[in-house]
Amino acid sequence: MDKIVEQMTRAIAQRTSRRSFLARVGKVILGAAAIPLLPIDRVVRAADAAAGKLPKGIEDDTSCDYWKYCAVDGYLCTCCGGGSHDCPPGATPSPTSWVGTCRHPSDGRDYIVSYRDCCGQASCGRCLCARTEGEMPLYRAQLDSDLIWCFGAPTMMYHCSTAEIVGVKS
Amino acid sequence: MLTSGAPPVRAEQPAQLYMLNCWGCHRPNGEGIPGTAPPLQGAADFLKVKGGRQYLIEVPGVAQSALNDEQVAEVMNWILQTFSKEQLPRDFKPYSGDEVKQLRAVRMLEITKTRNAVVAEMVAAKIRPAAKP
Amino acid sequence: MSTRVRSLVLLVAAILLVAAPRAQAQLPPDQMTSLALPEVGPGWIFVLDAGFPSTAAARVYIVDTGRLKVLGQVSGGYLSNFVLAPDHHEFYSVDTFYSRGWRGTRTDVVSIFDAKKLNFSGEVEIPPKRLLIVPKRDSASITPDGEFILVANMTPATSISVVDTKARKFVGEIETPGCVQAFPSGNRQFDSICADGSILTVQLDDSGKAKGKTTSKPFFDPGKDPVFDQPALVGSRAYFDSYYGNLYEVDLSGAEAKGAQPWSLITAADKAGKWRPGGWQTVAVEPKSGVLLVLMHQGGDWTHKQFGTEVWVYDLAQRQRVKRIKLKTQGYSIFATNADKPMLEVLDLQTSMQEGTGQLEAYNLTTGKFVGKLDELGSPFVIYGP
Repeated sequence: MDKIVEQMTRAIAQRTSRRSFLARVGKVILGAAAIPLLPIDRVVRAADAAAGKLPKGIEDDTSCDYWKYCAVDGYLCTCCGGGSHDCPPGATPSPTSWVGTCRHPSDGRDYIVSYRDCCGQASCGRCLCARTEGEMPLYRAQLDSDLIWCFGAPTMMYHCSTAEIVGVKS
Repeated sequence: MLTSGAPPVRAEQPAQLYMLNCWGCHRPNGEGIPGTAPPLQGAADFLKVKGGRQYLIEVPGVAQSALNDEQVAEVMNWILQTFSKEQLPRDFKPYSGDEVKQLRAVRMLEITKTRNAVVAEMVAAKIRPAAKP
Repeated sequence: MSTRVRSLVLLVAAILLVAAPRAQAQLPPDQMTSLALPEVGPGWIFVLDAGFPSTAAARVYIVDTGRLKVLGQVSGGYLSNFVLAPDHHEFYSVDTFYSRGWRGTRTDVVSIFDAKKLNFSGEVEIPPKRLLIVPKRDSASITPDGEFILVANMTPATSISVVDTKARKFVGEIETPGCVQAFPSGNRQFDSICADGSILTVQLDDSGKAKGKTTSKPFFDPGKDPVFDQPALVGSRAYFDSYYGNLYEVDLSGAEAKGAQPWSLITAADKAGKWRPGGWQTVAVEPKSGVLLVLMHQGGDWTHKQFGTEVWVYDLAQRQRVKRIKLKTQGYSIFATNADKPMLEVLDLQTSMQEGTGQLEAYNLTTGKFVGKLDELGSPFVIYGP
């Protein structure tokens, strides 16, 4: 499990982004490394949240900084008529997904999150959010977020991305 | 509309390994997706025929997973005992890390052929119905 | 007359002169034609625009890097890949189409274009299961003799579809369990990279069917130092850069791939400065000059897709860095050309995110100097060479 814990720890070490991809890029370069995070930082992080040091959008599900989006890669469904774990009208949740974890900023728990694409509508094209925590190249396909994760859906036409809580890591 | 099926739960260790490594395609209750990911429900039938016990570990998703040998054994035993309890042989001997280590070192290069051979054994043993022509 | 007034008078006179109707200057009617391309040049590159944000249709811009000019376009479909015949007589776009645009029945094809007129000249239907992903270079490739096109499939089970280019026929599908991509490593051989860090080598017979498969020992540890999945390929040698800044050379020539001892692209000081490779197509080799190029940025763990701010140049024989090229903006994919002098080509996707159009920047590889740019290239992800 150590490796997984390590990955998850890294997975939240880099939440940096804003709505604008460009702004995100700038911020990654300037500030990402300034927020190192170890498992013991949980309490510190909760304190940071209280002190307002966390990214502004960490509780806003239309923001790329939303805590649950720590490894989302795509157009946010919340900007396309859907929810953080609901597809917009006319799109179908993919039965397949890649799975990671994100730490909740205030309760400090690591939630197991399924990054499910909504499929069957043309690309939404809004609120691009490209966060790469824990993301692996194609040979570890189950952790590759560049894939169209519509396997098993009625069509492979990608619409937008969601993050669905499926469990809590103990 | 499809839903995830399982409410958020605080899971135990093998269940978490399953969630993080297998759930994404094999679904919350091992039901699989026709044509996309084989069901794990009923997977214990594989243990009853020649080649089946190896097959379950040699498939690429298992053999080449990011899990270590002990974790693979743990999660596979859990899958069989959880999703395929009814088919589980009475004398089921759980996989050990050592056994996994040996089995996963074998590379399955022809997955359809290998699977068909094991399924044919199951059909012959009347564990699975013959495929419709 | 003051200078300003004199200039004004001259300007007015010039305008009157141009505007005055003069019978002998009347232009003949235009004759409209379709132009043809010359032979593919060594300074040409092929820039794949993935078509974001709509993804409805990818396209490939054919670019002369010497003049920084678009010469033509190969039109594609949903998340297409591009393949160039080694003898340059044909271009291929490996496409997915739905019968009603975004809906309907899925069809996957290899579309064939003649390399002069860019006319569509035929297609080969393949199983509708090709790998759909933000385009990566080796999701489709061709054997060095041009006989077989190899198309990566994922359902998510992985396989390769083989297309015979002469017969224009789908030959069959080769299972590559746990392994993806097709790096062509011989006229009858390709390699795929596997989840456990090994390489699967597949040998083909003359009909394009699998004759043998061999798995190598793992040449890297995906859990510790993942390599990027778009290596630089020179002949049957692959150069993989990794998330943590190592270079893994793999010899793909034999029936079993052989990885060499990796070497570090970064010094202790670089490491302290958090330099590491990142982007999309992050590594290139310019064989004539014997240099390896890596797109670098400063960032922490999991910044493997961050835009690069510099390209580091290494002497391949000495395994030593010889130059750092600071990019004017930021790069996402890099490539090296050598028509008359070695050049670095950089795709800047950032401007695509910012202004809706990405651009190509060219640098002199010897001096490191910025030479020029070509903009309005859509969402450019991949560069293919001639």
